[in-house]
Amino acid sequence: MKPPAFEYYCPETLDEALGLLAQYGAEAKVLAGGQSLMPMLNMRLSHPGVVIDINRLPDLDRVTVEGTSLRVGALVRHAELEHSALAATHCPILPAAERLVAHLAIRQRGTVVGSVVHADPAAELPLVWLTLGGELEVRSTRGSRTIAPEAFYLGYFMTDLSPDELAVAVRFERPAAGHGWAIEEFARRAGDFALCAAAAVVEWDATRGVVQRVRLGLGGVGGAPVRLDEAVAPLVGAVPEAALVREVAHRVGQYLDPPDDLHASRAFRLHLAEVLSERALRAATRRAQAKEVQGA
Amino acid sequence: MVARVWAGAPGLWPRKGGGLSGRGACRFAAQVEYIGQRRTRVEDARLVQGQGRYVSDLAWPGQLVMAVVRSTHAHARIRSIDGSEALRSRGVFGVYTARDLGALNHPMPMGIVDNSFEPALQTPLAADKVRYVGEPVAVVLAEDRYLAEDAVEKVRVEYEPLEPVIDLAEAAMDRVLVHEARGSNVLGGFEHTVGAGEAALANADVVLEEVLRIGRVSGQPMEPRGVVARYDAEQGVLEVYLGTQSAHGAKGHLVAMLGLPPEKVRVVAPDVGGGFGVKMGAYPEDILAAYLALTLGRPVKWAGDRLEEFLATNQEREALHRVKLGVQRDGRIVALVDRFLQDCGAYTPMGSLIAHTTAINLAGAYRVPNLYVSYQLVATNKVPVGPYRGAGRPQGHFIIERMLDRAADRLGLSRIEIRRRNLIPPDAMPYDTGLVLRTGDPIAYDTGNFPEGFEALLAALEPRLEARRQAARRQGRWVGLGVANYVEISAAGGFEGAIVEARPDGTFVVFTGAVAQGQGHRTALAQVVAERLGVPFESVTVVEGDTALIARGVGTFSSRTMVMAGNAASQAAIAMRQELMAAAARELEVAVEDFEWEEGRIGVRGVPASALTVGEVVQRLLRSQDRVRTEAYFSAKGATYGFGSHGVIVEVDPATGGVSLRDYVMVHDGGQVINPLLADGQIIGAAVQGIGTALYEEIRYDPQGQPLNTTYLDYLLPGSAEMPDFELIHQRYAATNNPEGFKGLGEAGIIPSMAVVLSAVEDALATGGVSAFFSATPVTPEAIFEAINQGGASHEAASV
Amino acid sequence: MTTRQIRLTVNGQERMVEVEPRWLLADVLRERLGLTGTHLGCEHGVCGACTVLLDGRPVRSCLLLAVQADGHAVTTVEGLAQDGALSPVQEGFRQEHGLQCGFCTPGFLITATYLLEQNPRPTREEIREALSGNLCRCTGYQNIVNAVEWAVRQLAERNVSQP
Repeated sequence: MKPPAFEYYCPETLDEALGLLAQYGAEAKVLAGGQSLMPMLNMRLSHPGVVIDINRLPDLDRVTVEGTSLRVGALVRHAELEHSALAATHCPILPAAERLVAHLAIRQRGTVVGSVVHADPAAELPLVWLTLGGELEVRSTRGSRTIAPEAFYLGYFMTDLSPDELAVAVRFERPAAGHGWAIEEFARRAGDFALCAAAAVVEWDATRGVVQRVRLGLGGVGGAPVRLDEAVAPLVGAVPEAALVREVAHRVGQYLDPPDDLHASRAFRLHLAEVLSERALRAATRRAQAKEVQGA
Repeated sequence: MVARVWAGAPGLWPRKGGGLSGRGACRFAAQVEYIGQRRTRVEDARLVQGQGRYVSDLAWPGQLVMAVVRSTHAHARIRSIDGSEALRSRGVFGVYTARDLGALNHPMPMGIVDNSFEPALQTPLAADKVRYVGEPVAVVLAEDRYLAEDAVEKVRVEYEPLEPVIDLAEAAMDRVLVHEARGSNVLGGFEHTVGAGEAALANADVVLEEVLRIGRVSGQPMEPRGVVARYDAEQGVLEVYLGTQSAHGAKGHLVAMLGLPPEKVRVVAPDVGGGFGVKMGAYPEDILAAYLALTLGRPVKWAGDRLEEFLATNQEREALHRVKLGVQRDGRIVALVDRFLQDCGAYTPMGSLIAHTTAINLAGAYRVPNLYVSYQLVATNKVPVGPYRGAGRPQGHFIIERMLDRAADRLGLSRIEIRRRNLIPPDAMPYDTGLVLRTGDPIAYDTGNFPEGFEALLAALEPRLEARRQAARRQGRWVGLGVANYVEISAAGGFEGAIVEARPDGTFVVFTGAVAQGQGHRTALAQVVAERLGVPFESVTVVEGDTALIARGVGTFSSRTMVMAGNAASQAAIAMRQELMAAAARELEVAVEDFEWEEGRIGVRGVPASALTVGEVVQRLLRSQDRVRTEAYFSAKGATYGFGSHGVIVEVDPATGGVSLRDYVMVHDGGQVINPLLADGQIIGAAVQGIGTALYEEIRYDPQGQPLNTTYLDYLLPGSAEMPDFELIHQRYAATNNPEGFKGLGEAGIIPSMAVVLSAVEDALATGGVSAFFSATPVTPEAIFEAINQGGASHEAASV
Repeated sequence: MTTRQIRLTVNGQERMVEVEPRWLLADVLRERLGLTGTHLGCEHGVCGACTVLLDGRPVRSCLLLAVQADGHAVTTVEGLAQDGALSPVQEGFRQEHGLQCGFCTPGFLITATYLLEQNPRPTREEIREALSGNLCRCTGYQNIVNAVEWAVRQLAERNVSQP
């Protein structure tokens, strides 16, 4: 289990990196944290002719608040977001999600953007990104563009990123202050990819005592994470009583099409989707309501 | 008799009194007591500093690295192999196929003596046909592993795919044959009757029938297998450094395969990173590396990787049992009948060992007056089956324990009560089970108090159950208790030797054929020798795993080493003591009876000035002999029988099927234990492996025989976050078949853990009104989900 | 084949080595620098046996190219003992029988060392969580957790005696 031979580049500037990507395109793999790419290389499941190591690019290692979003550069490691005070303040679901990502050593090296771009359907960060909403900042010699998560994930490990493009940052949309959030997942062991994961964000209308806005995302239920806006619509403007939350959660299956695979059957995944949706919605609602009480 | 000891607590072990009084002429004043003492290991200072030397750490100048081209088909004819492009690959020295090996490529010997059937043995490289994904078809030698793997990718093998047979029951029907020449996939069989056998079922009030399936698992030592071979042309000696549990066994295989005289082959097991049964027997890579080193005159190294550990290292367990248990209304066992299919995989490198061991473990710790067992050894297109810790013991106990649960449920008895009513009582000892060891000796449990152990377990666990239940219920979780008993039949057959050599500086070196893979022999055997010699522990060094240092040896498996090597070391030490006392007596011209040996000095009682140090005595002896040595070879008659009992309280999340282990208590009778720190470590480690088999681990194949989980992302080993802290309760009933009273205990912890975990999960489901019976391992969250969905029978039970 | 000259600070010593870019840090440590204490157990980042500290943070040396460590500091198991004395974590493993075969041990020692730097008083649960990315097939983990707790006590005593 050793990597095949490749040409190795370690650009020092973004322009240099983009030039290499333009030159080599699909022949090249971008190496950031490497926690997904390196196993693929060691197992020789991937034979890139060229590896472009972006770890020495400047200015990509920052977490910042920009307008309505939290911006995470392409070299921010999972552990850095896990312990980021800005993330804890503005998108507290992110540190919570990070604690579920693999293990201590993997989180020290793996990057947030790398996980978003790798597009493992059971991974936590694509799920949270989709649930919160936001944009991926993408650069190439052709220019720059942004991609929303809804448009980014195309299927199992497939994305809208072109071979000559580099994702330089991911933006997570900041929910309204005082929102409630939750991420609930079921994995066989600590740190394993979830068989199913649910993320929920609830914004609360304190004056009316009802849900103002709600988002629910599910991972591990198909080729890409799924956001269920229609399924949770009955909660908007409603008092989130337990029965209603349960009813909403029990309907999520209609919107999902999970596969049978080694780790779980379709039926079990649909069941978990319902269970975890209910847990996530309840926990997020509880948090939102608790904050209202706290604020008052 | 029961000492309550929490794992890790020091020094509460009852010590064996008496010792070996009456032996030898001199006064045997044991000034030092080491046997039974908790001691940290002499092995560890090196290992915690990264100074261990494992096979993969070794390198010699001029060394070539071997990598293996493995079959990508489960069943196929090899049409052609083209290594020409690989040969042109950078840094490549050679590409070798079966044709290049010529006469070497004959079937490899079995790892055990087994005349009960005609084995199906693998050749080092597949010549015409491959029978499992992973079977070696060619090897590449290159300058390093990177270059070797480059070349492996360039070897072109053309296959003619054949239909494989993967499912065990289907294989037994012989529609597709793994070995055409045999005419059947059933390679061998066995039957045995105790009492009236199956006929006795007619006397039972109730007969329960079940089909029970045990999943296929992989041993997965953290160090993959590996070998480095080099030929010393000047000495004409082939040296093979091997990650093995049996250096002498491996030497035997090399001698047989290569046709070399035994004195021209040396096998060394350096630090070995775990074994658990899988680092035994003849493996193709060992033979190939040795052969290539011999013929090329250059060192050859193969350091297997994790993928190869999944594709090409023996696996275990998989079996399908059709069982009947007859019981009286009061729960007493009338008869047990078990007909089972044992999956062999594609070859039988370790004979019928696992099936036979399963069969002789069926009675467990209970009176089973009538028993009938038969098995068939069935070939399939999967990785060959060989021993993994327990090697049939967990399977046999799984059957009886599962059936007792079933019977209790049917009779309306508690699962605890039915066990109470069937445990063998102490006054029945020695208790002849009517079963027979492979050696032909009867299986007669010699010592122990099973009810006492079981009650101690219950006393520890039962009081906690209700509080656990209530606390969990508030969170929507269900809690259950499972219990199971076992007898560890170990150290049956063979021998082990020990040489004790006295050095002129007053220290001693012990050589043995045992090979540790983490057990701590260098500490434990030194404790035995230091005590029996009456010298400081620090003055004894143990050297093992080198065929050049002791001519005869067997190795470490089947929980045998402390029984065999421990008693051999004890006897060699006692002989050494006598020799040194006699020598000192001659030197000082006094009668041996007037002597004493204290604090490293041997002298006349009451005349300290007369005393000689041990080193001085050795120096005197070395004036007229080239070394001062004693040796002993010990073979225990029959086996040792260590009772034990496990109980676990589990918590089930009925919404997800998730299982958490809350309280796990183990009772074990290890006889006279040498080092409780190490003994507890063996028991806890084994229990966690058993929990793996119960909840997490299973090797899966698709219908074409492609393995589906060959990484640690897909094959789930138990991790630190999921495992509980275990509590241990010790019994000590010395074994009667060896002078030291030792009992094997290396496999104890794994024996009941499958049964006990499944039982506890069922008990938890019952508190939620779900009546389930799990007939297969592992019990995954999904299996629990399905059991809850169906309100009863699990999917496995339903599909049978 | 092109090679690169890289400079690593390994256990405090500066080492220059010429490597092919595809070589894993673990292999360069083991085969080029003679530091075989870092073990390769799975080569896909799960077992944790190859864990080393890169600039003080635990990483899988099987998932890192050696060229990526150019200019960085690497601490391996060989660098844990100071002046011939075992570190508290190493000593804890010895005292509590936290190892059997010893193959996974270097990765556990490195991870536990980092854990105690970050959190000198972890609970048993926190220890188990922090070590969940390291697999051990021998010990069943209990004595490993005991070993880390031994080190915690040792460090606490040191801090009391050396305020």
